[in-house]
Amino acid sequence: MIYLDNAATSFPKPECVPEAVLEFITRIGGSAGRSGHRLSAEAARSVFNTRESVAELLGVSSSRRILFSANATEALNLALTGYLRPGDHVVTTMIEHNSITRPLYYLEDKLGVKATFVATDNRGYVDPAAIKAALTPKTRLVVINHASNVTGVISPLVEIRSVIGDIPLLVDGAQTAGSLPINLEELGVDIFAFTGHKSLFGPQGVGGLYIRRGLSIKPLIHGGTGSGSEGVEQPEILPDYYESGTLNGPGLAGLGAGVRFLLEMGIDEVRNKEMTLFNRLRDQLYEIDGVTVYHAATEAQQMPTLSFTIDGLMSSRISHMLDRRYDIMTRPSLHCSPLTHKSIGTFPHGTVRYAISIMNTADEMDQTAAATAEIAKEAQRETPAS
Amino acid sequence: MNSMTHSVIIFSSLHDVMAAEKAVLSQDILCELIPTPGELSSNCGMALEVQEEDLLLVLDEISAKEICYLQVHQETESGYRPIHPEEL
Repeated sequence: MIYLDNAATSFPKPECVPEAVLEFITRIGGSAGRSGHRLSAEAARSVFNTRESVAELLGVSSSRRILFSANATEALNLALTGYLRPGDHVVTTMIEHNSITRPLYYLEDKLGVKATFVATDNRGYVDPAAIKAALTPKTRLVVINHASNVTGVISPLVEIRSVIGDIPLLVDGAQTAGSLPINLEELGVDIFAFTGHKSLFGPQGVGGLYIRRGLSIKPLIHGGTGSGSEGVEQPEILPDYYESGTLNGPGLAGLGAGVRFLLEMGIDEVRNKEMTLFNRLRDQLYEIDGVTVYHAATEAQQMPTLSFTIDGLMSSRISHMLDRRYDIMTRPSLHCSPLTHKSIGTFPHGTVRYAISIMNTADEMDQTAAATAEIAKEAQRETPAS
Repeated sequence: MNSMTHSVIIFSSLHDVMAAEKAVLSQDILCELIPTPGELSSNCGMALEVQEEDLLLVLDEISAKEICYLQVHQETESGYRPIHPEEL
């Protein structure tokens, strides 16, 4: 089996990840911060170590500013609903995932928040000058997808940061954290959402948010934190302020193992391996008649994810054929990013996505290219020339 | 750590307790996480217990790491006695 759906969720995980999850469930078992016994303390250490590892990976000097959530979507909802106020204006882009667009539409309806969706080119690349041009005196937030989950195109964060002045910058790092070198403090990112189960190799059900010091954001949920229990209001200390309820201990143990695996390998090495595989696959796809590939203009702007279409075949059919005939797992259709598909001209039927991780091999790239060529050839036989 | 005189450091959050434990252990100083004695605080469920002779060193270390603590208490035969900053 060849797994190329890593932009949805990574598989397989490094062996240390399921081992850490099993270790937590079978030996640690306690609830972090809910008691003083040894197992509760060990659970707390596990969560703390994961927080420290994520902070190190993302270039955050104070790990208490890493807040855990169930996934990137929940983290983005926390950021958007907790920060925006009635009448605020937001600048965002046409390559956003529905995890951004739907909360913004909701806030437009409920609070009168206005969002401007800045157009991209037909690869999904946003021009920083267009971001600057969309700013208004009411703009309180700029929201950028760090990389498209459809074409893998990386947004120019440094340039965007430099043109938006002091306006806070919220970055959706679902596709980049763990796969691209990131230093949030150097980049000047104010809020950064990440998911644990993609390139960070954690299990599903964990993600998080970084919030820089001094930014006022209300919590998404309220409740027990294991601290300041006599008070009726949320204790305004981090990370407790945002982390009510029992954390996903086994999931966070797995996330910690995944992040430490990446730190040991080095993100530069991860990036190098993934892009070598990506280039090998992309170059072969280029040679296939009837296949159109959607990706960035340069390697520096590219994550190891691409989209493609085959003339005469629906993306859903291609993905099904890849699965049943060739044992290749992919994701077809709109990838929860309809605006991106409108931008690259593949709406409403979408594309098939090949999303690579370091767990893939060069041989898998060759097999995938060969399978794609066979399907494209078959499509040409089925579709009479016009 | 049962035969020595102990001090107990109280924090406002579990994150600070964990950070303090890591900082102290990194200096090869003995410490132990204990349930926060109810008579001292209800802020955080865990506290850090250290040997009294190490207290100054411990406080220096966690301050250097910018970890905030709320209170320090000395364990006595009659219970806990708060240690005020001017005593340190």
